[in-house]
Amino acid sequence: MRYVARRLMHSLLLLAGVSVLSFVFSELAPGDYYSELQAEGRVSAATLSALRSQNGLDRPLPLRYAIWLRSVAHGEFGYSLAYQGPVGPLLAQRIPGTLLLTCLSTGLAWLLALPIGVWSAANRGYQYDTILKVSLSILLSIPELLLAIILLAIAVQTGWLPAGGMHSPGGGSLIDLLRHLAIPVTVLTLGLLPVLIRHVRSAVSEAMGSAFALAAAAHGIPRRRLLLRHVLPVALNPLISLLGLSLGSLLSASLLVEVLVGWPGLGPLFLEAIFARDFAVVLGVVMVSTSFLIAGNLVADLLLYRADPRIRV
Amino acid sequence: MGIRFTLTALIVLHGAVVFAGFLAPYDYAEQHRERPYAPPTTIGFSPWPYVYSQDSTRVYPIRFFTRGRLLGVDPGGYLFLLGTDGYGRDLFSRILYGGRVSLATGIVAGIWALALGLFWGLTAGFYGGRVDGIMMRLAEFFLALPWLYLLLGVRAFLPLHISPAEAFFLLVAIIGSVGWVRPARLVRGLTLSLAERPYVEAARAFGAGPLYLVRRHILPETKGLLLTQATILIPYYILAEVTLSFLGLGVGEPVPSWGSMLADARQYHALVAHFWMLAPGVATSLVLLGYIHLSDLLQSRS
Amino acid sequence: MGSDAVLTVRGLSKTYSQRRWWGGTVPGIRALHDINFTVARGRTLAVVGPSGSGKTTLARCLAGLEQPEAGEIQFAGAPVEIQLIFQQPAASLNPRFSAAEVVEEPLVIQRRGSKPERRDRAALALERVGLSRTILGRRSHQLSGGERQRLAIARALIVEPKLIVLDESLSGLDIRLQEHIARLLADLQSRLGISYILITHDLGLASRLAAEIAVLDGGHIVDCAPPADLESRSTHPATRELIAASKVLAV
Repeated sequence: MRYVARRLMHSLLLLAGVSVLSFVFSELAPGDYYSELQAEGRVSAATLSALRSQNGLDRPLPLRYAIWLRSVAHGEFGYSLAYQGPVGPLLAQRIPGTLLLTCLSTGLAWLLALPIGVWSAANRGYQYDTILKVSLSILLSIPELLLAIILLAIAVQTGWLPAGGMHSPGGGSLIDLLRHLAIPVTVLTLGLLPVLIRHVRSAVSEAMGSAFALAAAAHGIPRRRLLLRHVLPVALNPLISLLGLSLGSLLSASLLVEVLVGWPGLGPLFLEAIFARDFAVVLGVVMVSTSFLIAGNLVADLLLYRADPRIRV
Repeated sequence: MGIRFTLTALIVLHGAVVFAGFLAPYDYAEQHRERPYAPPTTIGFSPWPYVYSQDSTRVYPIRFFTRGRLLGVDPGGYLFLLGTDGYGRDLFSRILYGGRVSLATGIVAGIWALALGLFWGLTAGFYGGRVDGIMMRLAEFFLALPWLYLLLGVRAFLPLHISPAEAFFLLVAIIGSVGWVRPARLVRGLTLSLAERPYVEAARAFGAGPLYLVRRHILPETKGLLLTQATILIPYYILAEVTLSFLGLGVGEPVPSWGSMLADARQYHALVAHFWMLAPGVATSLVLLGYIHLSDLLQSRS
Repeated sequence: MGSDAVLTVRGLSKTYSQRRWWGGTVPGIRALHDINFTVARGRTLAVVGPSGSGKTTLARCLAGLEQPEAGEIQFAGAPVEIQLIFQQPAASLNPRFSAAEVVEEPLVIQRRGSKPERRDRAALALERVGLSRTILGRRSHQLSGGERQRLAIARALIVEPKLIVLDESLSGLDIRLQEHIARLLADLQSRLGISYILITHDLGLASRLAAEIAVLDGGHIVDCAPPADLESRSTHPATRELIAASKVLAV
């Protein structure tokens, strides 16, 4: 229990620290939301400074941070100048989209990676394994960017799948959702797969080659049972760590794919806010994505703690 | 496909990009409005290589070492080895020039991240105790965000429109700020274990200061680690630059980058008919493949 | 300080405490408590005790690797003229260094002499320990155990020390090598007037090599006398235990 409490504390402190640093960093940014208008020169300086003080942009930093904190407590997460409303609802609107994509892709990728990785570890060095290794390297080197563009082009050309968005106009059925999900999930899964399979393969190989596994094999335990009942639980350890580690890449990949495909997740919101210099939204998205990553790592750490008796102090 | 082969292939690819000015038949901004989306030019051999004119009546022999470039044809003929884009700009030339930005950013950012990680890890590992605790806690902040969110987040707070030169340095700094932590941790671990070795203590007993100890006893041992990390980080960083440029947040026009060229390929209807627009993506993949394979080989050796 | 003494230690104490990252300290183990002894010029003092008695802490304090909390160390010379030889010769030499680099290192650190001068002094130091010049170019990991031990001594000699602390340096060696090195050290002592502090758990070895033996137990010096007197007149339980143990294993 103490371990859990300690990790939780640590995560919360980290989150708080990130918020402070982001706030300070945004302060260092040259210009603000109104800088573009200022550069264009169409709006007078007086109006701009009135707008700025109206939106509290001229108040000192600690005060602005305190105001922002209070806003977070109320679920508002600050005020979006572009959308002229609280950031919170914007985030809430987009989070499910990102979660849906990332969870589906992770699930699918692990579902595929585990059997393939185990098979690969069990068949090291054989012809098919070598082919697999080469294919995975090639897949790994293809940027998700390229993959998405190719698939979208094919979709547009053949019309088999919709080329973007989450829903067809008028449609809302599950089938429609699945058809829209096909391309982004495929791209994300294919992006994850090589890394996962490699790690599964190496974790299982190591476990297979370890002393206890060899001893078990010497006792005559049949191969399949050996793999499933003895080797896999041990290999699970590094794989749980991998879950936490790969989360960051997954969220990043999701950002890109959402933007490419036009999926209504955090990605497009983020990009928009960057171009509009809507710092409140930028900050909000950064906090949400950080929370996801920290939460994911926390869950992975706790799973590890439960799974591995050696960690318990 | 050993280390030597992979290394040679990578060097060739990088070299081609460095010598873009010579190897590219055209300048990167040179437009041929009369030939937009032209397919790759077919080359015939008779046995001297030549290209046809558009109406297949005239034949233009390929000339070598003309106008300061390796390849060229007389005016009226076109040598578009990988076709052209919507403005009639030769894709092959732009890939060579664009590669400069993408690869240079990746490599320089990699060097920057490794230098930072090395310094951080050495300091934290050598002094240990409080210094170590504080430094590694600080480093954790850089791991708290997903890398693309961190990258874009930092980019967000910098001016939108900047000159290509400024953009380059900015990009290098930002991209390097993602991913320096892992090398730092590895260096720190190595330093921690080395700093306790008796021969380091012996040198300390002779009156050696921290700088000497680090330089003479610890630094040489980090070389292997740094090399492996370089082969892991650099492709990551090249991809980061390509992604940023693709999203319009990298080096701007008129300097091409593989990312911005790929952004041009987003006209999906046109893309199927003009598939050569994906060439920058293929180029990126090839470079990435080289680095990934190299890093696999290096890691399996150690 | 007596004109004959090269090192005088008074009231030396050392406690290891742990520091928390926010600055607080947790008191820990008391390794040394009020240590007093003197070493005469050109003579050997042995410090004997079981493991955990504080021997290595004492060696490190003398060499300047640890700072004592209390007490003073008076030495008739510059700090560098106290040299420390570690227990495991192999570990105390950087395996990537050549023999020349190993031996010259103290000079390099102290920034003494030019390159040729250093090379000459290195060759001289090697000669003194009975190693030939030809090993100067070899990497230290290519040398045998005995050669590495002698290399470590050569390295200590290169700064012309007045005092050498040997922390269990002879303990890991086989008997022949031990004898060889012991004779080498005695020879150096008579020729160059170097004093030694020999730290060991082996009372027999100490008796043979040292003019005086100090017994260390739980961070205190409980006895200090010439070897013969120690056996006949000492009453401290720790000393008697050591004597009894050495008799069992007496060669």
